Formats: sequence, structure tokens, C-alpha cells
Amino acid sequence: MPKASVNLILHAHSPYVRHLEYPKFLEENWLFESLCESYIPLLMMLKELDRENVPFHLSICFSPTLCTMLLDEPLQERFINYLTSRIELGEKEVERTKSEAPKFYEMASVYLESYRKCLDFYENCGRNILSGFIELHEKGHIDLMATAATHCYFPLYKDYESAVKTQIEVGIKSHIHFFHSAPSGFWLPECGYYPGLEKFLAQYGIRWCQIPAHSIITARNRISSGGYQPVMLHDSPVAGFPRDWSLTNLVWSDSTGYPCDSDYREFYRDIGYDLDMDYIRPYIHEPDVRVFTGYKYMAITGRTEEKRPYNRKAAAAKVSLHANNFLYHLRRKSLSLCAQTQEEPVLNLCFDVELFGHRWYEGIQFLKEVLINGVNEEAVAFTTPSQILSKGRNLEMAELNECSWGRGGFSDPWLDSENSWVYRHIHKAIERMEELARRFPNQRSLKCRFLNQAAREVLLAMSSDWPYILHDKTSVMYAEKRLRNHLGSFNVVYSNMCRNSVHTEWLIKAEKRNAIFPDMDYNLFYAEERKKY
Amino acid sequence: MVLIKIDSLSQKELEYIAEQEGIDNASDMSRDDLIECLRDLYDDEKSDAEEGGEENIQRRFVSALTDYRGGASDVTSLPGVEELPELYAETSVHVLLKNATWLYCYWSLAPLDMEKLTQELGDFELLLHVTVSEEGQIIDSYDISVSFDDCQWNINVNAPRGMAQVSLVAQNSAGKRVELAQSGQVQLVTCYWLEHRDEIRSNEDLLRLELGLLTNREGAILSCETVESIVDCIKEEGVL
Repeated sequence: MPKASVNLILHAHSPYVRHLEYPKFLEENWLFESLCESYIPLLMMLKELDRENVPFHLSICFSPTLCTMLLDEPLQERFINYLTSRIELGEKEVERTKSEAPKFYEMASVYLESYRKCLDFYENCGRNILSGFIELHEKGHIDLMATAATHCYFPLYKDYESAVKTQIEVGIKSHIHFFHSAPSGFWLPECGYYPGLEKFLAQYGIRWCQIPAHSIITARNRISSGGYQPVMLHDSPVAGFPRDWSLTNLVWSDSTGYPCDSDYREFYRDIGYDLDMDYIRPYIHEPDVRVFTGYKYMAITGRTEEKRPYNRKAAAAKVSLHANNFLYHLRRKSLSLCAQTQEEPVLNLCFDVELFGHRWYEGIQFLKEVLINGVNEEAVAFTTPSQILSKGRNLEMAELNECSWGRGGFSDPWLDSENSWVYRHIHKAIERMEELARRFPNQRSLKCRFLNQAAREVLLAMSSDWPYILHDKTSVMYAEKRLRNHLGSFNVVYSNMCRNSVHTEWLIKAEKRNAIFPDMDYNLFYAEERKKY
Repeated sequence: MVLIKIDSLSQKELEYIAEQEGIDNASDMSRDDLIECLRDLYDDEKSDAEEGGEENIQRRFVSALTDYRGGASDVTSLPGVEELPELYAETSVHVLLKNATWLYCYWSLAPLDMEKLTQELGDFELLLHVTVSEEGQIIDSYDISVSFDDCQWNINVNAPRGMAQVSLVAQNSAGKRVELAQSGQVQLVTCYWLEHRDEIRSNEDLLRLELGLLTNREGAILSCETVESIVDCIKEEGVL
């Protein structure tokens, strides 16, 4: 029976947030929550499948900023403190719910147990979860992909080749540093593509990347495979794997996706907001800023204030139902496409890892059931793009337009009235960095460190997270401050180098604060002088 | 990804968000009043945004819960870091593709160039001269008058193909023009199906496949202006 090849492609990313100058820093919780609710449970689940000899396959990307934080000793220590605090709260919650709220007792115990397991697992793997993913890679279960150094949204930097190439090169070198192997896949941050990007990816040996779903129907040429085969990006050797929006939407939709089911756990009802301040104060942020604690006892229920207590059995039954429904949709699409096209189709499912476990509490179990039950599916086979390309298929050439997976399909979320101001400054910093690389090539010692730190500040400013946060109006103050700090820091180097001096106090503090990309080489920014019109 | 809507937030959560948003007497307000008040607040803020009416307003409320940070703590600057300038003392113009029909343009005019221009032209106005060309041939060009206080502009482009470029131009009342700076070229969105409408009928099966990638189980199609234009063409051709 002909089968569809299904590529499950996961992307794990967090912006570089590390503020050792504070004893606790709220935004560092982004990492800690993702670690204990998504990354560690995902790794535990995949290792379990491996132990049970389930022949699963998927692709996964860990961004360099995330990898750096995962292996950063002070952050590891802070994560241990975070888990310890959650365990302490859990012990109090078990006691409190036992007497005061028995309907929540079971879940309090479940959370407490899961935090304890998480801490044990974390310590047992030497606080290095990446080693677990490397092991699964070596066993042939997962394909590890690279991505840009700081999750830069490429289309808005296409006039700055040096910066794009630096993002790619530093991203790939970081991947090799963390995973000890060269990647063949490259996750395009935000699925952001522009014509010409592929030639830089090809220069670094990349063989494939994911592309947005609508890039096929809106392409500049007729693509006869209709988005169900990988395509060759222009005349490069890089293959683009189109994301299947119709299938990912079954999970991703914020109105009808599986995670919206009324039996699933409610993400936003957390005791950090619901319990008395005196009780919860030690576990929230100072001064009395209520935050998530991870202890959430309600089911989604519906769009009302009244929530019913979470019922694990009911949720588990829904997970099985939804996993089977998902496989049914994969099977149905596979059979239909095989009949229509007489070819074995390729279906690409791209997701952020943080959706599973963190946002969607039951998501890891969903993935597990999909991967286990998927083995027995006759019409689909879970595979990886690298495996597909190794079969030596002839790929159709695609001339795509600039595109992304953001709302509207282009650059709107990263270039709107809230965030467009940032590009004037980031572009200027890149131009000045190019100038510094031209004027002061191959420096040594202090000046080299000074220039390398400048390059780091430019890369960190280019992260797509900051403009997206400004667009989304979430942690606006923080994102703006970070942008201004990175760009202002870059200007310290630029103005000092123009006077042929080094600001050593700044340098020492900046290297400590932004301890990322240890092998940074500012010469990567070298570019011929820009054409003056 | 949003799993909850404002309607389902508790009284306590709503009060908390309202307090953060500076709404007085939040703790005395009823749940319905709180929801209405917050909705009005965000509606007002949203009205001048370029969101195209599709933004999920609920997300703001939810984000306030997850992302609020106190005003006391802040990200401190490193020694020597100064505020960014509003503009840079140079004359340049840059253009970026925002989507299939809009470009975003930003520019600056160096004070020294301003002085020189005044000497050369007397009083003058600033223009953005937009050019769309294809294979070296100009297929469209027009001027947009901007004020000296402006430094950015969203430019609507209706050309379905070609390269767009923007020049910053000074022009005096006698019509004398001086080009001050020119942007790089931006490749506009060109779509095969919109360029080959005559082939739509004979490619019904292929279009069905392509749309299958973008259609969810409720029958809704991924939100994208270019895709919508293709769907309109398909409907006009009476296929699917």
C-alpha cells in the first residue's frame, strides 16, 4: 500500500534571557516553565519510547540561544531553585487541598510528583538535557536541525548579507558545538524566507528547511506537486518542505484545535492568581507580582468564569480520542493524495515544542500516542526530511516569494506600527559593524574581544522575539529595554573604536552579562562598503 | 496559541488585570462591568493599529496575566550606554516589503545636506519617489509628498510584479528636483496563478491540491491576502 511520509518537525526556542544581576528575574521563568513542562517531559517520553523499541522518527531544532541557556551553570542552578520552590509549594498544596479542597488533592499530588521526577531526571542527566537528545539522534530516532544564531527573522535583513550569513554561520557552528555533528536541516525562524536565502544555506551545507504552507500556491511558478512533495528552492541544492497548515491546524487552532477541548486542563487558572497573597507570596515574584506557579486545578470547561475541577481520566480519554482522530486525518489525507497523484505524498507538520506540555498540558501524551499508534498505520510512515532526501528524489524547482508563517503570510507581525522603529537602529548597527570589520580586521587581544562583543550585541538585537513581543503587546517594556540595551551597547563599541579606544569596564561587564557565542568572530560581518546613491 | 477567552477569567483575575491597567475601583466592579471596561480599553488602543481587524483581542487580556512585570525592577544598562538617537545624521532611505501590497519606508536627512539644499533650492519640499520596474523598464512611478517631520511611511504598491525602489527627493516650487538618496530594490510579490488566470480552469485538480494544504476542517482557508485573491479568481472562473 502506498504511504504518505509524515515529517513531524519540532522547534524549541527561547530568547536569551539571563539576568544574574538580580537574585530572581521574572522573564527567566520562560525558560524554567518550558524546561519542566515541555523539554524534560518530551525527552522523558522519547526515551521511554526508545526503551520500548518504538521505531519513531521526528526532527527537532534547539535554537542556539536556548542551548546556551540550557548549559549555563548559573541558570541551571536557578532552575534547580525553581524546581525546589515548586516542590515546596506542592508539599504545602497537598496538605492544604487534603483538608480544605479535596477535589484538588489528586492534582496537587500529581504536580508534586511530576516536579520531583523532573528534578531527579534533571540531576541524573547531569543537568544537560541536550545529551539525551544527542543520544536519540545517534540511535536514528531524531534528526537535529540548526537554526539562526538568535532566531532572526531573515526577510527584514535581506539587504544585509553579512548579517544574514553571520546568523547562519554562527547558528550552524553553535549547533556543531552543542550537538557534535553537522546539521543537514535548518529551521527558518518564523518560516521566514526570501528569494536568495537558499544560496547562503547551501554555502553552509544545509540540505533542507521548512517553508510556509501558502508559499506553494502563491509561488512565482507553477508547482505541479501541489505542496505534497519537497521542492528545490530556486536553483540551489536546498529542499523546501512545505508545512501542511490544514493538518497542523487540527492542533494549533486557538478556537477549534484539540487543546481547546473542555476536558483539558485550563492553562490560565493557576493558584498564583487564585489564592491569598499571604499564602502564595513566597512563590510569586517580588513585590507581590502574581505569576504562574504551575499548580492549576481547573478544566477549560467553557468560555465562562465557572470552571469544573480537572478530571485526569476524562482528559486521558480525550487524548486517546484526539490522537486517533489526528492519525485518522493523516490516513485519510494520505489515501486521498495517493489516489489523486499516484505518488507517495510528503506531509510536514511543524510545531513549537512549547505548545506540548507547557501550553497544552496533555500535549506530550498526545505526541506519545500519535508516535506509538502511528507505527501501526498502513497509510502513513513517520520519517524525517533527511531520510526522504537520502532516497535521491528528483525535486521540482520552486520560485517562492518572500513569506513567513506569521499572520497574513508575510512580514506584518514583525513590521507594524509598534515595532517598525527598531529596524532603523538595527540596520544602522549592522552597517556600523560592517564598517568596524572593514576598518579593524583581524584584531587581537582586547580590541578583538571588544569587537566580538559588539558583534554579539548586534546578533542579540536581531532576534525576532523583540519585535514580536512589541507587536503582541505582551512584555513590551522588557523587549524594548533589551533592544535599546543591545543597540546602545553596540554604540559604546562603535564610538570607542572610532576614537581607537576600548571601554574596558563596559567590556568586562558586557561579556559577563551576555555570555553567548564564545567563538564569535566579528570578521564575519566584513562586507564591501555599501553603495552610496 | 490561546486556550482561554476573557469570558472565562475569574473575577479575581479580571480585577487584577484592571488594576494593572489603571482602572479605578476595580474591586468594586461587577464581572460584566470589568469585562466591558477592559474590552473598551483595548478596543481604543487597537483602533489606530494596523491589525486588519483579525487580531484576537482576548490575547491581550491573557498576556497581561502572564507577562506583567513590576515597575520596580528593570533591566539595567551597562556603563557608557547612552539613549539611542531618534535619527542618524546621514541622508538615506530604506525600504522593506511588509506584505504583498505594502512597503515600509524609513529615511533620514542629514542637517548638513539640509543646509546645502536650502542654499541650492531655496524653499523645497520632500518627496518619496516610488519606482516599479521590470527588466530595466519602468512600469510605474509616482511621488508621495512628506513633511520634514516625517521619517517613515507605508507605501501601497499595486503592481503585481517587478522591483520597487524609493528615492528621497527634494523639489522646489520651480520644479527643480534633487535626488538625495535611493533605497535598495525590493522584489514585489508575483504569483503564477494571478498572472495566468487563463490556466485556472485547466488546473482545477492542482489548485484543489494546493488549497487542501491551506484549508482546515471547518473549511476556513489560511489568512493571506494573496491566497484570497487566488480564491477570488478561482470563483470568478467558476471552478471548484
